[in-house]
Amino acid sequence: MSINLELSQSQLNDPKTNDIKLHYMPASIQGDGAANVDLFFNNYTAEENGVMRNTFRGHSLEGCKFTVPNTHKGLIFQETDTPLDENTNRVFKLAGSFDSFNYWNYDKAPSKADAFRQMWDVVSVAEAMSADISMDDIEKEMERRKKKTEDSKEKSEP
Amino acid sequence: MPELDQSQLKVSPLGEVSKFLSAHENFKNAFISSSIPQVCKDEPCVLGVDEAGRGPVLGPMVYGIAFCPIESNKELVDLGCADSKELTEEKRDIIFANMNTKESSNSCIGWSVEVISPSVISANMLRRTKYSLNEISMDSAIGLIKRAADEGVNIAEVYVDTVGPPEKYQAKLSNIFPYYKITVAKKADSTYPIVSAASICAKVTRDHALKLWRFPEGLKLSHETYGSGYPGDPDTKRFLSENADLVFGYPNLVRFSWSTAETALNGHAYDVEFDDIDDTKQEYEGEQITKFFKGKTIKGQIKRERHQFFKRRFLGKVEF
Repeated sequence: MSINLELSQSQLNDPKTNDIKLHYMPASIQGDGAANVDLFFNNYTAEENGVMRNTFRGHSLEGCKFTVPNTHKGLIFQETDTPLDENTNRVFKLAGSFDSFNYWNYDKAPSKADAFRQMWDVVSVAEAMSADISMDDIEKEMERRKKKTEDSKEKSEP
Repeated sequence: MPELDQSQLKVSPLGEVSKFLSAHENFKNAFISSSIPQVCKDEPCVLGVDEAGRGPVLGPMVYGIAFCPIESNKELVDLGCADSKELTEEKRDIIFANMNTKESSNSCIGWSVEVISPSVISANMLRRTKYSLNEISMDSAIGLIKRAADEGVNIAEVYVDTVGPPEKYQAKLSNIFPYYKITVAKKADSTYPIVSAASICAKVTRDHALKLWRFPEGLKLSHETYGSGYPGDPDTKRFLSENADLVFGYPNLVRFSWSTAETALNGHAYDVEFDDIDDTKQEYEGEQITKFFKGKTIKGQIKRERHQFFKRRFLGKVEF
């Protein structure tokens, strides 16, 4: 089985799909469907000293705007029908893209200690893992290791 | 109170109170007060404290204080300040209006109320560390008394109505205000005319706040459709069962922290789970001795766990 992601440059540049207002909520909402976010939520967002406040189902939320690192872009894909047959290719279509969203914590000011924030470390780890390695880099690394073993020999021999 | 965001108004007549209530952002707390008569600054005063709208599942809770010189007690009785629960809504409105407009009354009686919004009540009761309705109430009462003192009211005696045990409350207040003679009692509003006056101010404000509620959610519902807000009121019950939003539950008129609201949402809205509501329960974090006995498959291979780096960040594989 394979998965196809369908997207085009023109879709990405289309302001209609490019300006999606997202909220990252500290709760799992066990349902799927349209939500009247403007009237029931955005209406109530208040900002003070860079911290946004609101409530959801009576619970107080504190949040801030989160900007996606400029090396990345946020994309939303939707699958209209999940094929019943496991061997059929699955197709996901681009439904929208975003460069920022509101990130909300339940009764806690957003901080660097949030697991969600630390999750972004993965970006730099992944970059290091998948960066191209040139012949030069390999030679340098071999040189470094050779020196290291020589150093430790010197220390243990005299 | 953690939520200090509130609007304020200095008013007297009922019409102005109504105008203010319908214009103010009703998810915030509000503070409304009369002007302070000069005699209340000169003569030693009695001050009464009472609340309205503690039990309902809809609308704000209102705390009120009223004060007048000890000598002016008769004026309160003449106004008709008696047990506010015995009075009809109409009667309360009339007394409140007279209190503010009659020369003989507004020259010696002052009052102020704090409107505690349903969103502030819910948010506080549903905090990670709970801030109970009792604490909210006491802090509101203390805040109102302090405010009156700061504005120059010469307070000598304080009378407080309470539903809970009076002793603890009285001890707390005496501790904060050592120079006042403090009396906390059950049903104080039928015993002391000044508490009755405070009760009328609170009740009138609460009734009007609920009646004039405008829904920022855009719902066009009149007071008749949601009723008094008491959980037993058939109109309130119907409102709760017919106006649930699948995602957001209810408009912010509703106190989400009430079990009535929670039960009414069951089956009418998506279930929602907040992250670590009970994160005070610390799990044992070190390595456990039993780990030497597990972690191997039947063939004897060692199972590899995901690195801490991923575990701490809740990162996992996505499967479609």
